[in-house]
Amino acid sequence: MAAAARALDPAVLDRLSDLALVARTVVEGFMAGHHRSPHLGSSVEFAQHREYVPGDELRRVDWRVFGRNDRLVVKQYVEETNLVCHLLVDASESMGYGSLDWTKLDYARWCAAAIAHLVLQVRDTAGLVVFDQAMRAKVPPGNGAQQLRNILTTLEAAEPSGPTGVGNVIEWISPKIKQRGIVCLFSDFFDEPERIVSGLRRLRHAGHEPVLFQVLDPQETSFDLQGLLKLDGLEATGSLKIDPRAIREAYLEELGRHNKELARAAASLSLDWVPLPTDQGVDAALSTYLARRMARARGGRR
Amino acid sequence: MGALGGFVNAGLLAGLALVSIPLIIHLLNRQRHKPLRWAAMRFVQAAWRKTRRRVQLENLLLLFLRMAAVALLALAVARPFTGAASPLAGLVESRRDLVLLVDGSASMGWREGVETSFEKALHRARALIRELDAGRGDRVRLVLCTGTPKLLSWTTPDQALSVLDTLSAPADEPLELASALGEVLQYAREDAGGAGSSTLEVRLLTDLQRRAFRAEEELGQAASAPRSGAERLAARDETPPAGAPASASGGRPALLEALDALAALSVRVLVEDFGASQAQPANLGIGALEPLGTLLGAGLPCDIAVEVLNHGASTKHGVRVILEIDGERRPVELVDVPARGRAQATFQVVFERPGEHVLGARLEGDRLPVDDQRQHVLPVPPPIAVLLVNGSPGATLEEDEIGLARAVLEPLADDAAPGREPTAFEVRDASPDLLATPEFKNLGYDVIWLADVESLPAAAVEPLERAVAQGAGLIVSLGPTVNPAAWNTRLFARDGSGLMPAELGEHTAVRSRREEYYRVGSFQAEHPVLSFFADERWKALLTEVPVYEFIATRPLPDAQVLASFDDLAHAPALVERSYDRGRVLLWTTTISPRWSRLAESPRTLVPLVHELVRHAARREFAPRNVAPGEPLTAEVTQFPRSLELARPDGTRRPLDGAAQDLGEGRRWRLPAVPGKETERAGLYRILAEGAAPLSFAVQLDAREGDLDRLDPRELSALHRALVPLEQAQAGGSAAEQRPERGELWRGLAWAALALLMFETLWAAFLGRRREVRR
Repeated sequence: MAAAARALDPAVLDRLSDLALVARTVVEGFMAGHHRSPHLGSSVEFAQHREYVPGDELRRVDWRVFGRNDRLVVKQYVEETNLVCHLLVDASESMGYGSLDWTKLDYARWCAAAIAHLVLQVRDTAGLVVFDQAMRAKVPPGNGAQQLRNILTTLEAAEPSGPTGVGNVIEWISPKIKQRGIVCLFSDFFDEPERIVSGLRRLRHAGHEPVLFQVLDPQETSFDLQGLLKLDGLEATGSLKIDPRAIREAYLEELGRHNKELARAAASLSLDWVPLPTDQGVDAALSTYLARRMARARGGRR
Repeated sequence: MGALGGFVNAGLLAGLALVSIPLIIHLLNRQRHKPLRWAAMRFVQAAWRKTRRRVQLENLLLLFLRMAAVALLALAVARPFTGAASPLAGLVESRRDLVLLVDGSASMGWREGVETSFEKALHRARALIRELDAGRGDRVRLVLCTGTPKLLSWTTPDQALSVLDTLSAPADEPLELASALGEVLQYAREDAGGAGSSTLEVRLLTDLQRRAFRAEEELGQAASAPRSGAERLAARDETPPAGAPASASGGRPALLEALDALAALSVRVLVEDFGASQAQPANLGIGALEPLGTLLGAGLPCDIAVEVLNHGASTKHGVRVILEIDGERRPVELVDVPARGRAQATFQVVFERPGEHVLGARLEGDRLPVDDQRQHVLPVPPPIAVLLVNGSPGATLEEDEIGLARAVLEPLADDAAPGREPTAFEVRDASPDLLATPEFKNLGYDVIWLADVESLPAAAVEPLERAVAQGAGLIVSLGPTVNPAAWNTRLFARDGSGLMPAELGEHTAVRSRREEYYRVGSFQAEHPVLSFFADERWKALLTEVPVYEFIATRPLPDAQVLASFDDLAHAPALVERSYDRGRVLLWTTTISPRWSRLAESPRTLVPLVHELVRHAARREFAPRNVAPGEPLTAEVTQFPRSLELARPDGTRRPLDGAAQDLGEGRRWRLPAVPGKETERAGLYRILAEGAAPLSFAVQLDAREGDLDRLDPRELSALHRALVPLEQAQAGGSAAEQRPERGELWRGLAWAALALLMFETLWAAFLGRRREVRR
């Protein structure tokens, strides 16, 4: 694919500029960043009251509340920390499919680039791993303009090849991610659900917040293929002569069952499962998700 | 095949090969899969595993439906049929194709009891037709068998019944069974399609008249061949006309040939008998009505013979024969007619005036009235106007060239007699100069005899040629006065455009009349001029008469030498040739005693001169007595206006067409009355405004009165294809049984349609089920 086509449309970034990737779960660290740490510290921003327990510093006691209600309560303040966003992009051969002018991998890299831009723009940290059945390329987490360039360069260089191994990669990479953060996983998740779920559990257990972005081509989701076809599977999965209309219902059933299983697993692990059809604009797809996420974050803190 | 069945159009079974087309398309489709690289193969494979068997079954079912529909259609087009022994016999449509041959010949008019044989046959035909079921597709071909078979109906039973209601009486024609069976053969071949099978049921309703079934039937009755009057006349006399074949192939009679062909197609003709109860029913009929002798003329006595035929087995005594002439009844004659024989009643008649006379003979009615009467139109010619041109007048009768000839033609009258004796000739004699005068052009002679004329004046040639061309006869007798060179110059042309039939050559004479003479060495005995001398009793009158001198001639190629001398060169003695509408006869010696002793033999001279003159005057007119189904036509000398045809039943209708001017301004040929309008025997008249009516007698074939019947055993022995009804009913033949052979094509076609409909619905159902849901 031409380099220009691989590049993310700047207009998309413009449209996403007001959004932010908000961490939902516990994130370690503290730095001057855009994200609020749930570790309540000595920040100037009041967070909440709690009952006084012996040992609390008297300077934290809210005497106005005592004066009003004869209750001893202490103030808690919000601390800002830095966000670490780990971008995991599946570049297996199956991601090379596309019925539109771009492939699933193109779409994934645009989304990953957009997320990276959002994160790095607010001086948070972002890193990139490109994988197929194993890690293929890596940009260690960092921040700054150079980091963005590194990430974009690596994304642009990614070619779809090799078999899918999402589950194995997640399991393998989980202990290797030192800093806890958001793990944005861009894949079609054409792998055994159990393996994927197992990997996600490990990530979760490690304190990360995986976000699953399933990138699918509209043809893969609708299977409205016409005529007699000989489907040659990518990733050496064999070939088959079919009448698509004859098996469409069953195919959709299989795909739906697979996605439902993954979605259910994500829900059970309190993970976000974000379907990204490649015929939907990147900005629309991401802005919908990010806005929902921001609203959820605000509502959780009030 | 046979009892089990077969195919009417076996050749079309090749269409079964088309069954492979859906299969080929199916297999080709398998090659037509477009390649597509696909990522989500795991789901496709899972879906395929889940649906493979169902999809395969669905596709196989569609393929089977298509192939089966094509196969059924191919089989239906091949029109399979089954026999009684086939396990599929119960599935056939038991449609019947009935060919009903109804004998409509004159003999079916025999009445025994209340109804005639024909009426009984019609009743039976109605009953048979009512057994058919039009809703089932039963068909009936109704054929009225007469001289020419008439297909009356070929479709539904109702139509056939309507047609039957229009029939009331048989035709006045004999049964031409070979022609009728030829029609059946055509239908059988259409139905069989060449496969050697037939579903036809053929029934013949007839009176089993023996002569209709005679395999050695008279010659000339080839299927559908129209018979000329001469053929019919000859057939009546039971002598074959010259050149007529016995059958279409010249060997086996046409009837047997037709039956052979039907038998080859396994077609049996079931024969039902509606004839008389006796083997030889007593029936009298008039066989012939005609004048005896050939000399006819106004005022001349003439014998009219009425021949009565007795077809019965016992002699009939005192049969009353009634003759009417021009409607006037003559005294009855009684005759005794022997069994299976004939008798003749003779009436002496004198026709007072020339012209046509209508003779009508009849017997007292019996059970077959159609042959009990007969008409005959007899044209009585006026005296033949003869101009004898005397080229060598003499002082005495014997010396005069034409003296004796005139005496023969016009006997001297006794002045004391109250009136002249009637004569057939009106004779005038003249000199050759008359021919060049204007008077000659308007005289209108029937015969002009140039006797020993030296030569003709140039001015006489053209009027003479015109007179002969318009129908007059010319007789030229040679003699010592004749100038051959002048004759050849004026009247002979090698291209035949001249009057003379031969070029005159040298004068030939014996050296001594005492020692030698010529004779007529050979002659055409059947020619009308010389047929009198064919009788051995009179032959010598011609062949033994000495001829001493004659003029040699060289006849034209199309001239006929009627007699030759016995000299070495067989020089012609009498030569004839037609010249337009007339004819020319050349007698190469004298008619007087100068060159021969012919004139000295009255018994030679009289018949010779009479026949020469009568033959020269004879004109070919259209026959006035014809058989049923033959056209009527005539020539008239007056322009016909407002022509009408009057039929025997008294009805009239205008005659279609315009009269044809024969180019002379004096004769017209009337538009012909077609044969289909003369199917009834009796008297027909063509009426024209201001002219005498022209009568025609349509005469029944007298043999139709012979009701001698075939015994059923004789019928079976005649040919295996003919099956008497009694024999069939007795179980001796399967022909009486309704044919259980039936066709399956209709059921196959319906089944194919059903399969196609199911295939369409099934494919639509699958399509809807598989359609993209948006």
